[in-house]
Amino acid sequence: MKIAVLVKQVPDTAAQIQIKPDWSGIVEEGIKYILSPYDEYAVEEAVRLKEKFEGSEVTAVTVGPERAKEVLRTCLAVGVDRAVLIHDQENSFDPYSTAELLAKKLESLNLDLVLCGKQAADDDMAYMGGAAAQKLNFPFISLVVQIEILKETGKAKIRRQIEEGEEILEVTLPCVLSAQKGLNEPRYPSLPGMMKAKKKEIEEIKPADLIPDFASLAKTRQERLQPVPPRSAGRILKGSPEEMVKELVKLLRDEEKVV
Amino acid sequence: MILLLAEKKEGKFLRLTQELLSEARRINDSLKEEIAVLFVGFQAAQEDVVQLGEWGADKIINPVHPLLEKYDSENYVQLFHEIASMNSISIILLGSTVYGKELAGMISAKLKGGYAGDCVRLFYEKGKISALRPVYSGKVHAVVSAVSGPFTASFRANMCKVEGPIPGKRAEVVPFDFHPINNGKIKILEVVKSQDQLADLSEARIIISGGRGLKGPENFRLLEELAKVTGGAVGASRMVVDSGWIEHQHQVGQTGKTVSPDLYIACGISGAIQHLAGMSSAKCIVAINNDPEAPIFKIATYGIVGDLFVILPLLIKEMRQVFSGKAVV
Repeated sequence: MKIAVLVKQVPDTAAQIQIKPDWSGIVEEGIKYILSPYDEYAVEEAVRLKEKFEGSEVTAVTVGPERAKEVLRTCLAVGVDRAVLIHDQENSFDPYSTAELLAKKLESLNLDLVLCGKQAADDDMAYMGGAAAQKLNFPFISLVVQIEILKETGKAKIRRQIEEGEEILEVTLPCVLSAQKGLNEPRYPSLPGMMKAKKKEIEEIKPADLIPDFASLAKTRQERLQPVPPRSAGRILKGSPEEMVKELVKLLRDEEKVV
Repeated sequence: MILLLAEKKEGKFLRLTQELLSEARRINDSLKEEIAVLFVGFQAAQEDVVQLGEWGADKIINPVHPLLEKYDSENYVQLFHEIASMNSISIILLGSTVYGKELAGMISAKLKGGYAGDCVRLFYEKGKISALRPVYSGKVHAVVSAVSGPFTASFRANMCKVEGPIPGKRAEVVPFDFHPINNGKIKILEVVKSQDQLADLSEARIIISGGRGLKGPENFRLLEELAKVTGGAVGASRMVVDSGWIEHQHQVGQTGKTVSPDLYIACGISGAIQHLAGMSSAKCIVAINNDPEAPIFKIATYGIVGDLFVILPLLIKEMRQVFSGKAVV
């Protein structure tokens, strides 16, 4: 199987996020960057499929700055074969432009399967899988928790989460699937794996090499980041457990009107 | 045209459909366009027409086709494509449901337009359609604006004020001749309904959430009881999900769900930044924890420092009185 995984480097989920004084972005100093948590499931699944189907190849693709090479190395260290960094530029906030770049690269890979996380842990867009699928004319299924490749029919049996429970679907390959937590238990990179990953070459591409008029593609603009109105600490109730509970219920009913 | 997708569950419109219409009405004070609701699959009944009209729809686009009766992403995208080729659309609004989020990205890519996921507000600013959306799991807000093409946004539940109905307003029902693509690349084989009735956090108005302070999986029954009494759902911290105490469906926070209920009761949850990110837009937060230094108290509307095994049974008893004789919605 030829598999591509779309990955993104994002701030550690435990990081405090500060906005630059001009509100144009976040303060990057002091932030530890990681592979987006949902992408870990996608990468792990791709590597497991590769291990199952002989002759498979897994390519990890990201759009990002120079430092995004770190997450590509993480992918290589757990068994991904090839890594591609498409350098970002000004309009990389625009999801449409980014999807165009990714799809352009993916087209050239002659794929059976594209995996990605259900959303990136920074912009929480949940866009790239569906958008790439449209551009490639592949079907797309989000929130996938189980994948069974049916080699003989060229299809896959999928379990995915919905509000009421789960759906079991059959999809024709090639397709795009977005990974939900629960798909698998990602492995940690081994030391030899990390050593090997260091030596592997990362393919680097400039947006203009893929799409000459890239700069004119943007469909949205990020105007600014702004702080979330702070939530202040409220009231700590006092008294015996009985008194506190009685007061709480009274407040919820009469003041907050939520029960 | 502002186009929005109506979604039903068990025969009733989601509250989110009414919220989308309210948001559409507010931004339409500036845009002054037509508000159209896409009602898919079945013939709209008279009560649907009345309801959507009074909520603010000018028009109901009502394609009826066997292939549209059930959710089918390929045909739904095709449907939006056909509608867009015959109308000038400025905004497409979908609810941030599983289907809504899945569709939103595909539709906007297909229509070569702008996209913003999981928005909490739409507005018109400096002549541009703009959206406010939480990023970094709600630690920061971003404002994005439309540059060109139809602007497709998915909209988070329970975030906006619902406008009152417009008495007597009627929407015009427009049949739509849909041409399905019918290539059958995706087939739904089976829907497995969760036995767990308390797991659907998406539109829950009350969430009772538990963390490590519960000491063990068996003690979730206290939360389940309180949720049943109040008509709420049960949430959980990442720690207890990763420990296997409860299914991932229940997880609130980064790598779980982002929720904004009217009432969030955090029991034995210390309040890691990833958890706070997922629930701090709740209207009212109650924290019950025996550690007075727990970060959750910094954002809680009301805090009780104490033993949750003493507090919760008392709370269940009190809530039972409040909710007895009151229809649970």
